[in-house]
Amino acid sequence: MLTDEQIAALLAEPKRVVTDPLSSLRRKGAHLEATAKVAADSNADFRVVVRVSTVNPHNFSVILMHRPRGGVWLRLRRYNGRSHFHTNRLEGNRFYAYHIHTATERYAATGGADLESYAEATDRYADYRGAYRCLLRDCGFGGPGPDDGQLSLFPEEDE
Amino acid sequence: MSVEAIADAFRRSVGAQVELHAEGHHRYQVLTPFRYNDGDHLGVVLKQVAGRWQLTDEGSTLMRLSYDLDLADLQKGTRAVIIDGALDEYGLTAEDGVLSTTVEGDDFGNALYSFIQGLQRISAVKLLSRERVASTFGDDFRAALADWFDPSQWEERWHDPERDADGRYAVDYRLLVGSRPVFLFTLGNDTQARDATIALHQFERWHLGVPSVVVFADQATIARPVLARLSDVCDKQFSSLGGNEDRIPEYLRRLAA
Repeated sequence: MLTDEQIAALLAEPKRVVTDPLSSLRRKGAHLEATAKVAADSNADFRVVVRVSTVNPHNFSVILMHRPRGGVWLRLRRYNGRSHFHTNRLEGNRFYAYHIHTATERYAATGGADLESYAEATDRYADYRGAYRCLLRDCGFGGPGPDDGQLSLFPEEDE
Repeated sequence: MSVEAIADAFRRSVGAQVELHAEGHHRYQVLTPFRYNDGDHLGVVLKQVAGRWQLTDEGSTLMRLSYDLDLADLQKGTRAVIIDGALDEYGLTAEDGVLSTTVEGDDFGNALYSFIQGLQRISAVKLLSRERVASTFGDDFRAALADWFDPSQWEERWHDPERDADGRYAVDYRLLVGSRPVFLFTLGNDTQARDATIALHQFERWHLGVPSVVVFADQATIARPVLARLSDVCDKQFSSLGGNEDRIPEYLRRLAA
C-alpha cells in the first residue's frame, strides 16, 4: 500500500511525456481516448490517460497512472470534468463541479474505496486541455504542456 | 415501529436522496445516492428526446470502464455475456457507447431503478480485469529476480532430474542463495496454486528439505480453500511483488545465513 510520502514522491518525480496524448485522441464509441507513454528518470512506469466524451464536453478525465513493478496500474491523480456528483466518503462533503481526484493513504486503507477516492472541487480549468495542462504542472512534468494555440474561454489559475 | 412505518421510512429516506438539477432546456442531472468506489456518483441524465423522457448515461459508464479495460474486450467472452444480459434484463439500449432507457408513461421511478441497476451490473465487468495482472507478472518477477541475484544463481522451471525426469512436479525457480537451494513459486491463479501445492506435497514425500517461497501476482484473487491447502505446505508467502521488492530478496538472503 502506498503511503502519502510515497505518493507525493511519485507525483513530484521528474517526468516527460513521450507522445502528446491530445494530438492522438481516437474515437471509441461515445468518447475520444488516448494513452501517452511517460519517461521518468527513475525508469518507473507512468502513463497519462485522456478520455473526452463526444456527447458532453464537460465530461472528461485526464489521469496520471503509475504501475509498481509486478503490480497493477494505479491512478495517482485524475482531473475530472463537471458531469457527475462526487462525495468524499470520509469527509462527508458532496459537490457537482470540475474536480481533481488524488491518491491518498487514508482512502487506500479504507475498505471498498479506491486509492484516488478523495477529490477536491476546482476552478483551475474548464475543459480537458486545461485539465491536461494542470496535470503537467502538478505532476513533475516541468511546466505547461504543448500549446495548441486555442484559448480557454475561462482564465486558468496562473493567468 | 410497525412494518408500514418502516417501509415508509425507507421510502422517505431513499426518495429524499434523489434530486434533479436542471442543466438547460428539458435536461436534468439526476443525483442518486449510488456511487462508485472512488466516490463519483453514477452519471445519470434525464432529458427529453423527440418528445419522450429518456434516462441516459451519455457514454460515461463505458468511458469509465475504458480506464482499466480495452473496450474491444467488452464485445467478447464473459464480459459480453454480462453486458448483454444487463441490457436485456433492465431494458437498456446501447448505441454508440451510450446507455439509455425510455421512460414509459409516468413510470419514472421504476425506470430510474432499472436504469441504475443496469449501470451497476455493467460497471461490475471491471472486476474481471484482474487477469491482466497475471499476464505481466511473470515477466516482471523475472526482471526483479535478475536485479536481486545473478542469473547464474537460479534455474527456471526446475524439476528433480532423478525422481521426476518428466517434469511433472516443476518449480518456477530453483535459486541458490549461498550454497543453499530455495524453491520459488510465482502464482497468478488458482490452477497454478494447486499445481504448486501438489508439487510441494511430493517434495515432502521425497524429503527434499528445500525451503519454499511463494510470490503471488495478487493473493486476494486466490480462492480461500486453495490458499489454505497451499499454506500448509509452503514456508513463506508474499501477497504480491509490488511493495515487497525489498522484503523478498532480504528474506531469501536470510535463508542462507
